Amino acid sequence: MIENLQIGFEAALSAENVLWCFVGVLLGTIIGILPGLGSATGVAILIPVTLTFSPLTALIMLAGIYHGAQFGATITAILIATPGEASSVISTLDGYQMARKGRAGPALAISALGAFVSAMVSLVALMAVAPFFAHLALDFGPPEMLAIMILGLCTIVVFSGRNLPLGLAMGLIGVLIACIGVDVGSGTARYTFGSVELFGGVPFVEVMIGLFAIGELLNQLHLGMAAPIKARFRDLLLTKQDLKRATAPTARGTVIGFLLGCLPGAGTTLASFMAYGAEKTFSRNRKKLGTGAIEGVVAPDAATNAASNANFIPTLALGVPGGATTAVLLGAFLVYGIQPGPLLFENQPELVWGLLVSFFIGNVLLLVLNLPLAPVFAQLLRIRYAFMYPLIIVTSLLGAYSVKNSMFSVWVVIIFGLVGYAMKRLNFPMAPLVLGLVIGPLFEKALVQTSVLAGDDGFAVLATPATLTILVLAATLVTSPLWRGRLRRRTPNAPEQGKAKDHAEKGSHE
Amino acid sequence: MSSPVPAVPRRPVTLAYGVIAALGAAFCVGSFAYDWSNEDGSIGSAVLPRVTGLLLLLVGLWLVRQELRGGSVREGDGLVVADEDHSPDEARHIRRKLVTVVATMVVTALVIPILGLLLSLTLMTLFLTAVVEKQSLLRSLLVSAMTFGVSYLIFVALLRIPLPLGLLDPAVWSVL
Repeated sequence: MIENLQIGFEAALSAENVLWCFVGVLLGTIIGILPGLGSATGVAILIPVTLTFSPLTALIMLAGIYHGAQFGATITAILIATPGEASSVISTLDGYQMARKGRAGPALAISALGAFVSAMVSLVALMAVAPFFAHLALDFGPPEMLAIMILGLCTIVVFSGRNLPLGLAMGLIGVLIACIGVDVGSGTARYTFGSVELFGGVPFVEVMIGLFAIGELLNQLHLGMAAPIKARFRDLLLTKQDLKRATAPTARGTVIGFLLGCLPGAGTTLASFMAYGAEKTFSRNRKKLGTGAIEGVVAPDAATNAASNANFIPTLALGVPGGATTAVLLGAFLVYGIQPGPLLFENQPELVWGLLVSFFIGNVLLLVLNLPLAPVFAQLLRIRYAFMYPLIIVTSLLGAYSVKNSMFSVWVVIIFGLVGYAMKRLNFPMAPLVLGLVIGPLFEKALVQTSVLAGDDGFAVLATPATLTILVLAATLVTSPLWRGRLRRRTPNAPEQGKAKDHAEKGSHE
Repeated sequence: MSSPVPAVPRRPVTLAYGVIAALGAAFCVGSFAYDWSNEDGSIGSAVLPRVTGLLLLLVGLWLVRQELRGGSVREGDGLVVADEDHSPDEARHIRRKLVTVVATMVVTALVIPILGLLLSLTLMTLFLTAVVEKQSLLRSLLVSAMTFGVSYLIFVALLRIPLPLGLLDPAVWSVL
């Protein structure tokens, strides 16, 4: 691995490559900030610009856009509850609450730091175990993917607050909205009422912009407009306590993101939701989640970054895209005459290792760029809302239009903006709806494929060790409110008992 | 400040739960237009919407029942607190502003095919800042001009996204 790293550094560390990497992360950050565009569209738009570059330089710049967009998307999610990417939806829950409390600086900084740490860890893992995980991912057939999707849907329990039926209803609505359009199994157009625009389904990104950006904006107008937030400089900086609280969530988010990112199609969005779900289940401060807890910002962002790096495992090692952006990047590989697959690591080591090393460089550049700028970005909240909300509408509608160059997208944003406003007023949870919308199509695809595979055996194909393990995890998650409540009742003084036990152990050691 | 809502059925919440149940019923009934299974024996396009729709109908009815039985005042459960501490005049002003902003968005979307996207959004910004928010004309013009400039720079010059120009499109004029 050391030799490979040497090859990579020699290839990637030329002045030209570092410069284009910087341009890539900068452009990516701008693209990420704009709601709707996202890394996949950004990379696709800018492929023609790189056609005159050498393949390595071009791929380094495109990968820079990919990484930059992940962070840029979080900036607006935290500051104005407008997620730039699907994966940053979850950052609005706690990040925006932190911003409203005058802690936008620490939220942005911890997001950048958590993303950096997870990127570094996942990159080392990527370099060390890419072929192993790629083959493991190949063993993940439709039944295993179905189990993963069931696990994903079960996280609705975590996002439902205390009214589980309402959370469940929101999740089901998300799945039903995802049913609109051409069915993945048979190609039948469902609930389209003859509208060509609906053949591709209700566009997820536009729904998200409407629900979160316009919905929150109308809600703020209802509340009498948010006052400008003038935070003291020291409140814009991270504290030791923040860093301490962020350590475990970063680790958990990185592991979840990396494992899910290895699976083709699982995507970074699912990773961010599941990381948040894990925090809701395991974090010491789980009760504070949703009210502006740092754990709710750092864990999803760490998971998103780890997943976006792990997405390259199936892409590079198998030639199977891990997600939407890596699918576009796969297209770029083919444009430059490079054939990804098992032989790529052997045939073009300079290109592969140069690209992987450029991820390190890109992430360092992102950290250098964004960590000092976090308090500066936070100053945006000083702008009066009378000027801010027209700008939010402009970027939302422009961003939505840019996704497909279609007016249909603009109308979807406005309609779902009203839905989002109603949900805010009624205090309905939005996260389960988004989760249902994201997982719905993936769940149906896996279900159809599994039913084909099962044939006459029914769903006996689900009885593999991996599938059963995942399903047990899902069952544990669903029943967690029940058994946690029982455990709490049985051990009313659990923390005190734990402390006493620790004390006794210390005493015995002494 | 905010005050808890008494534990009685709340009409907007009951109505919303009813809409949820109706949505489930609509999807469930609509799914009968599609096949339950495909020719190869795999799951058909009706399965997911029918099962999910039915589940949503049941959950929706459960929520309505729960609400009618005394209005469950719980966290994440709709209108937990009444947050309006506005006077009737303020409330009326806010309602009017909300309607105006939504109407402005709708009108903007309608005029995009005529005036083009950037110009429509710039005019919308000008209207919202100068008329709705009653900011000075100079400030409003400045904000609108900056919005146009930055949007043009990013979307047109940098990302080269073909934004609609409406009747200002030279292609339209060349035909005439």
